[in-house]
Amino acid sequence: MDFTLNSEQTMLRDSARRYLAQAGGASWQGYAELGWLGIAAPEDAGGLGGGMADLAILAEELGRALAPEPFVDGAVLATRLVDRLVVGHRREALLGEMIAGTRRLTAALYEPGRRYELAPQTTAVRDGGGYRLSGTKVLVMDGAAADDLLVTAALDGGVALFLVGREQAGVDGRAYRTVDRRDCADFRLDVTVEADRLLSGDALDAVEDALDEARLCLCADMLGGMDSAIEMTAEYLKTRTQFGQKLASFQALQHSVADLFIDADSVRSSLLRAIPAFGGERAARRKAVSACWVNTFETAKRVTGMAVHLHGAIGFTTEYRVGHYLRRAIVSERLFGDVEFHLARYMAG
Amino acid sequence: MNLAFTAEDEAFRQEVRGFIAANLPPALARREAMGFHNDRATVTSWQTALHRRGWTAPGWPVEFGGTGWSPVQRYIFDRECGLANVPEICLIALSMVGPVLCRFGSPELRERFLEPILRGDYWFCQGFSEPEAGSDLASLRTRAVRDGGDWIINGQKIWTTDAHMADYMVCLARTDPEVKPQAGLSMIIVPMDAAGVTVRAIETLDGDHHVNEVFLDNVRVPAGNLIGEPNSGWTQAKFLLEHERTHNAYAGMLCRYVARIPALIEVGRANGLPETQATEYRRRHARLAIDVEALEWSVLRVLAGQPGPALGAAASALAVRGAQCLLRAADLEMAILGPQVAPAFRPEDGVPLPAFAPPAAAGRTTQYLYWWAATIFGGSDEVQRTIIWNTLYR
Ligand SMILES: Cc1cc2nc3c(=O)[nH]c(=O)nc-3n(C[C@H](O)[C@H](O)[C@H](O)COP(=O)(O)OP(=O)(O)OC[C@H]3O[C@@H](n4cnc5c(N)ncnc54)[C@H](O)[C@@H]3O)c2cc1C
Repeated sequence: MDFTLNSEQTMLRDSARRYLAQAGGASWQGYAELGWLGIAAPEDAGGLGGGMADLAILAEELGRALAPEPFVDGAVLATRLVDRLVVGHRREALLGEMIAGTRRLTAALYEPGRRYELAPQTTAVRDGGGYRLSGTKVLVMDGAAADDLLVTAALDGGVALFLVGREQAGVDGRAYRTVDRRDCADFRLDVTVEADRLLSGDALDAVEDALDEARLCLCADMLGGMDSAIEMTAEYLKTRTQFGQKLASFQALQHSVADLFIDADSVRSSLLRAIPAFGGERAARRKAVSACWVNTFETAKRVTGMAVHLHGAIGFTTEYRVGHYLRRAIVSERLFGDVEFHLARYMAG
Repeated sequence: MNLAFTAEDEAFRQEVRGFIAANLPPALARREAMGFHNDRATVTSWQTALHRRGWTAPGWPVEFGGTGWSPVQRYIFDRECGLANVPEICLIALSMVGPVLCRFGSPELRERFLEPILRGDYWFCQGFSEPEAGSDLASLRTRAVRDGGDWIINGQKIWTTDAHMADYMVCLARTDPEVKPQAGLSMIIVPMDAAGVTVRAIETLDGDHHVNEVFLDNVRVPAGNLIGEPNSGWTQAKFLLEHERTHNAYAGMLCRYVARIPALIEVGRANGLPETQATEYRRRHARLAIDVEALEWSVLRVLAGQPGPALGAAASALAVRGAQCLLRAADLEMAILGPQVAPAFRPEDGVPLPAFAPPAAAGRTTQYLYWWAATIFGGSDEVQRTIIWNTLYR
């Protein structure tokens, strides 16, 4: 076992941290130029063929920087789905455009009143030479900016995945923002697509597998956020004076910060434990990912909320950075299953 | 010892219920249930109804317009208001400034302010905290200097709730810089429209607007606006902060959460929440209900208790426990609603919630985020813990 990063990974982490500190992380094109959009894509399609460890390293930095771009949704989830389910020349063409940042894809999986159920109520029916898709999809991150949606629909008793142009007639989107001000949309679909838009008639395992990669990235993103919130808090307490002394001189506050570290450090271990599971069998991987999710998101609100608390009122303002980690925790926690969902999945596994 | 409610208490409860049902505008109750901060316009009709009934200021002495209720009656009133989604109205004027004026104010100040406060004509904000004086309030720097028949005030206040809609501020200012910090402070009433007062909004995490910065630049107010004797501001401020010592338990609000969560779980069940998960949430709800019931009895004990150190410690304990319970309750509601709470939503936005979010989802994250502030304001958790140690064990 070796817990040290190799030289490429160190470079990835350091350059990401530098770039995000300077540029703020709100440029998809910037991500493309840095090669980040190709990490999850295989080398035979022009990607970097990176592993889970590389993705997690970058995701942690993006979380630390509160980057608003949908890296996990586009560059991980959608990219892994296309890699797994699109075949032939089309796969390379699509991935090429995604890696270059010229085409944005996002997955439209969840439906109203169905929480995290992946078996869709959206239906696909053969219609002339193509398919007619009908249904509603919600909480589609990056939905307003994406060029195409990867839509799950029930077809012949299986779960099919379709590639649907967002601007196509019959794709009725409503954009909004999440509590942490990320872009999102719901879609009502009543659209006919050509036959070749069906990517797979049996996509459920591929969707779960890609979701697990996205889930672990989201955990890493949150870990970066927690780490940063703790560091900011320690720094703030060293500069703020009340009662004629630095707040950091009060042992009660030192111990509160130490408690946050204890929680976040446990999350880091869950993450590192889950990464090698991606080289193994599916059941063990699912269990490890769910374990990491539960530990991460049962911890995240407390750690980031306490970071706000320890700042006092300044931490409660939007002008100040630390509270934005708490907002992000509230949203990320429920994007790909929540704590109870993953606890149940862990227990079932 | 008799720890049961009497028949008169129960009759009073019914009377309060009837009054609320007859007078609380449904739209206001809906907005309050969501958990967004109210402004003056939204609460006017309710305050007028309360005033007609003589119920605006339960905490004031009867001769100034108080209700003369027993502690148990006051508790029953707060609980029923919590359950029925009654909003708090100008807490600072009614629960803080009013009692201070009743106790320390000159006859002129009482004459000028008490009745308009009861009517809802005057709203107040509380100008205590400053950028460098939070938990360490006594270190505040805003200066008031006597100039003939006036005080001239210079300084900066921050986190001033409702400054943007208040008519007056009670400003804690340094009137004697030579003595020890607590001894040189005075409480002065400052009209918010006086020359030299500037208010700047501060946006907070919950997405709401309640707090502000207030800049005081050579603000001139008549000497008579100083409450009581010069340099007695610390005593008054302590009186003010301790007057509603059970308020920070938010018992009424917690009863509201406990009462509505079971129905929310059923809404969840109809929206894809699996039964096993619902069972876990019912368990969490029961555990919360148990703690809230205990908290209610803590509030009653403090309301009925003999003043003394133990009472101070108990009041601090319930402020800390109250904030913990609020966070648990709001977190549970978010968990039940699941992905439906992710969209940002403000009632003023004019846009409906996204297609998939039920009305119950509105405001859930706003309130959760706000309860983190409840661990900070009114004396942070750490400050309360210090009070407990100092009053009981030092
Ligand atoms: C929503 C909101 C509304 C408010 N409304 C008003 C208002 O209307 N009027 C007004 O005057 N003020 C108001 N306040 C301000 C509030 O009173 C202060 O935020 C509070 O006193 C804490 O001060 P601070 O924010 O400067 O934090 P600090 O005092 O800087 O404290 C930062 C952290 O250090 C901790 N800490 C401080 N001292 C110690 C110690 N000795 N030992 C251990 N821990 C310590 C605190 O608990 C806190 O966690 C409001 C605040 C909020 C958030």
